[in-house]
Amino acid sequence: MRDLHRGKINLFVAIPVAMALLCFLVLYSHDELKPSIKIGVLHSLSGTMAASETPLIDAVRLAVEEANQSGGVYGAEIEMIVVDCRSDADYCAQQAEKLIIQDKVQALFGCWMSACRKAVKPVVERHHHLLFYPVQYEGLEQSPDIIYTGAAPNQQLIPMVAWALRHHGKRAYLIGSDYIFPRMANQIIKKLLVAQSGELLAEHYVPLGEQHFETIVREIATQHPDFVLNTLNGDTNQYFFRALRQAGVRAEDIPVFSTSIAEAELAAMEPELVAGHYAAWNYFQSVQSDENRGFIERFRLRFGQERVLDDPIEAAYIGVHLWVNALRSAGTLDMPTVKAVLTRQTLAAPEGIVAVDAGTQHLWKPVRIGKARSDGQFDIIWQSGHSIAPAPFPFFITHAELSAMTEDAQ
Amino acid sequence: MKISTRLLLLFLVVSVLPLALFGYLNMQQNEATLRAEVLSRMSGLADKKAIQVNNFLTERVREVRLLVGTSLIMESIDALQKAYISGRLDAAAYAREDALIHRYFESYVEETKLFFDVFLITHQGEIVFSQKHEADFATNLMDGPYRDSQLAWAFRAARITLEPVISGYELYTPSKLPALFIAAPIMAGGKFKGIFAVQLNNDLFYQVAMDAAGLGLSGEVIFAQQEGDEALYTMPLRYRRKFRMPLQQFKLNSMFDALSGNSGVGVKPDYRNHQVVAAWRYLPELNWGMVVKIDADEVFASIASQKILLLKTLLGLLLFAALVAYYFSQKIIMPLDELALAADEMAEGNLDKRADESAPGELGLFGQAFNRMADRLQELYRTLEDRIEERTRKLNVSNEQLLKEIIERKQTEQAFKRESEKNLALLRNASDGIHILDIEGNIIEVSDSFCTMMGYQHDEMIGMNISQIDALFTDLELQKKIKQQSEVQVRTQFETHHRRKNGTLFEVEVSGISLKQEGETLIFYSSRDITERKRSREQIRKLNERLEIKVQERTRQLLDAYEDLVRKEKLALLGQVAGSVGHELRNPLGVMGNAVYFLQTILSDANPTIREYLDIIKSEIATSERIVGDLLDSVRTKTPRPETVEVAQLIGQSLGKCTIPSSITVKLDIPAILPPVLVDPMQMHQVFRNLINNSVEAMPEGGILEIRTLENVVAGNITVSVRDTGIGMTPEQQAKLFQPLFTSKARGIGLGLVVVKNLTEANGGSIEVQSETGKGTVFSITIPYEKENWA
Repeated sequence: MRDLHRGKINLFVAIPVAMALLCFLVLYSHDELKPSIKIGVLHSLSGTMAASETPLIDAVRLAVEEANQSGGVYGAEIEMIVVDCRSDADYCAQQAEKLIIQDKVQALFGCWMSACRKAVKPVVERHHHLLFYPVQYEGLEQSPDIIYTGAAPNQQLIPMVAWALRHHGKRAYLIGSDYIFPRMANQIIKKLLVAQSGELLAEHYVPLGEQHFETIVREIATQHPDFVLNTLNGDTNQYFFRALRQAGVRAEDIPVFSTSIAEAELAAMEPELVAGHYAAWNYFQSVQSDENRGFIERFRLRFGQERVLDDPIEAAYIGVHLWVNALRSAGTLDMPTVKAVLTRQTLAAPEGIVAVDAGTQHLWKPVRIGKARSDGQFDIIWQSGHSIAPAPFPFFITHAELSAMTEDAQ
Repeated sequence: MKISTRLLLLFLVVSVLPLALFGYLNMQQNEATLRAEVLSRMSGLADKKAIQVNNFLTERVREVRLLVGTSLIMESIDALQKAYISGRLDAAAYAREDALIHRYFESYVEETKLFFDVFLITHQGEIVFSQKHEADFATNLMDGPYRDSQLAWAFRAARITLEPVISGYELYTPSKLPALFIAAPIMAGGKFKGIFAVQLNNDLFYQVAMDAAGLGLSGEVIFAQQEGDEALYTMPLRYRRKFRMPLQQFKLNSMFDALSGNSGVGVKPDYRNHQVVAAWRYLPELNWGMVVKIDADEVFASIASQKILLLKTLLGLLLFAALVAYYFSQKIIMPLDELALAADEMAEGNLDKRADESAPGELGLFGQAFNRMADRLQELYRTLEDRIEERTRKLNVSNEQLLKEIIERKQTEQAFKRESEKNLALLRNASDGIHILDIEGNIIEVSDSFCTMMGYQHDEMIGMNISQIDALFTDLELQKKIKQQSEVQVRTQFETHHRRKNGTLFEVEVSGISLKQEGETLIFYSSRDITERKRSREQIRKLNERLEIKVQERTRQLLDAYEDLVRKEKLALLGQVAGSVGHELRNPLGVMGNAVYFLQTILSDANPTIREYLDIIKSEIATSERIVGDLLDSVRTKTPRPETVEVAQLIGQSLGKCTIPSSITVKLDIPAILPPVLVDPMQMHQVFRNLINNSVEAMPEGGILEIRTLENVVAGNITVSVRDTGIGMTPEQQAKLFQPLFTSKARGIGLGLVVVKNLTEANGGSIEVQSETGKGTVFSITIPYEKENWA
């Protein structure tokens, strides 16, 4: 009799317990551990480009950490696989292929020099994969598998030259490093000079790493152009500006407009040398906005208070956020869907509002011209106000000419 | 708990609870699904509308790109510019060009209304052509009245980028309508000629905004752009006539997000502060924010009604379940109650009571079983009494038998118990360890006391050989002892050592006796632990030794006291003698000294022999005076008159007064800075002088006299040691050193050191001596320099 009684009580306890267990199972069965989503980062940690590219990895890292902190993507963490491209385009392309095939990354972020991009492009296209390219470049390129987060020519080069022509006179002197970007950029500039009734005084190319500018600077002093267009890249700039200073060429008399000098490059040389000269970018560290203040603060908190930020760093950073936003709104990792959603992305970026242009896969970006200060920062002296639509193939150059130039580049 | 209550609960738990839970989960799921569905629908709608706007603009831009490339425009801009500059607007050339273009664009502007207006602008900003010829015509966009218009912005942007651009949307004063512009550069032969621009009205956006398909009853599409700190709604709103909202006030609003450049979906408040399900987008071409939204109330209305339905159903089910449970419990309980009543009656003694067997199912079976049980009980009850009587009788017989057996058993047991108790008492009381051996020395039996003594268990000991226990005798000796014992049959006694189980040894006195039993000889040994006895003996011996030492010590003390007494006696005697003799001798010595001095003065030129004798007399007198002085000093020490003096100075002065032969080297080791001492300088002089003289006299063959001082900061004193390398002293000599009238010297009466000791002690110091025969002697005087230590 007693046993029977106890049996009944047990039943009363057992049923709710079983039901509670069932509820628990139903509610939590979906909450399993998800594998991380991988991305590949292709930048040079060694070789001549290491100094420029290393900070971009930090930018990607910051964006990835921010995305993970705000919940990741579909509850999964994003995991970075960083590859050292060794400043070697072909090696970089191999690594890109490895990341796609072996590591099964969902997107690639990287490249700096045009040569690198041009080497990685066929790999990405062969696998219908996705690359975010964060640096301003010469344009004349478009790929369904690349998102260009840096400036197209009409978002840096062309406004800069047009502004120089308008404010400093018609006589231009071109100097650049001897590789794809300066040569292509100068092709465009020469067309622009023709279009805007400018006058080309000279066009010179020096090897990367050149240190001797005495002859060129003497020529500049003699010819006295209204402005110099400088597409030199890397530490060569330091020797160029020092030679200018030594020859007594002052920024007030012959201003130099540079395409590849940002805050990071100023920090690496004596900013004093470049003070008073000009550069055009979409982003300067001195941009006044809440987004930019927050960005600088977070970046410095993470990587050190002494760090400076510049356009490529910002472009690398927003690339990750655009991708993460696209994944989140796509609700899938399916590449064609993600790409389709990507072309509709907009973002409140540190530089201002950016948007992916569906037609060109480039970004709508604001354009700014800055005058270098002796403290390594820029005073923004002109800006476009709104974001400017990207035009990788400049409108003012005829189709035939563009084709010829594109073939040259190949 | 009653069965009916239990059944009710069981019903609820089994049927209603899972149902409620399922309903709740299902509703949650429904709501989530609905929300996701609506959000996704809104998102899709927003994308569609954004694409619609984008396509429209792209289309217009493409048309502008095409138009700007036509030869008509390329040529016109040149012609118009020339005509415009040369002859202003009445020139025939201008009119011709103007008419040509006007005709061309008629179809775009008047007929299809694709563009609101069309402009040709020189690269300096002069509007040289306009289809509608509004007030803007023939003004300059760089410095004219409309230099701040969106047309002017588009002109400047197109000129600097040489790309087609889309301007912002704003009220355009010449048209008195809001408008936006697309401007593209006119290129001819690679040269920039001017700008071609078209004006667009807001027809499309009206169309997009008004298309509320898929947005239910409350939905709408709204557009806004940012102007300063305000959001300006560019299209009419459904619920408000107001067109401007300060941005800071509605940061939570979806439009704020859209204008910040973000896109997204969610449930947020709108401009009325109503919760809406919204999707928002930023339109980069226009710098506009777009929000597509429906009131949340409308969207989730079905969920609310579902909730009510679910609650109603649950309530109904609850009621139903309760009723069913009640019915069934009644059905079961009534027959059970009857059975319980029947059982109660039977318990009261009514064995004729029977239950109802007609109930259905198990309850009927239960009734039958109950009745069978009642029958059996009645039957049993009848036969039970006979069987009890029979059983009682049998029990009585066996009980008696048992009682008898018990008594017998008890008697035997008691006898046995008494016997064993006696034995036990004997064995317990035997304090000595009894062990019985056979002739081989093997243990046959042992007493408990022996086990305890040896540290073994009883069973362990049986079978051991005596040689395992004994630690003194060899096996052979033991065998011999046992053999002797077995032969003599007399009690023997010997001392030996036993080894305990733990290995420790102890001394025992063993008494043995042999016994012949049934042809077998047994040896009875009884061991007594005599460790304690021996220890007491040892203690007494030690006590005696200590006593002896104490006696010797006391004897020595007595001897010392005796010697002290002798010394005191000697001193007392000396005091008396010295007092009188000293006084008596001092005066004559003084007179003799004067006399000698006088003789030396007057006999300064006498012969050497006389002078030498006089010197001898003088020195002997001095010696005699010193002896007399010492004698007097040794018996009565004057009260010291202390002064603060430097130790170095004291030693220096004392040395100065002593004659030191050239064979003796004096070494001084006195630190420059020493604290001053408070002593009687005259007395201390005498102390040092005596010590120095003693040392000098101890070194007749010459040697080293070393005086050193040592400051002991802790004790607060200074030690002056006077060391010689003379003949030294034996320990016996040292012992008597400070006794009056003791001397080791040929000359002297043995008072010098007595004086030294007395004076040193009078000045609060102490003296010590160390000496070794043949090596030398050190006297150490220790004087305190603290005033408090002054004695």
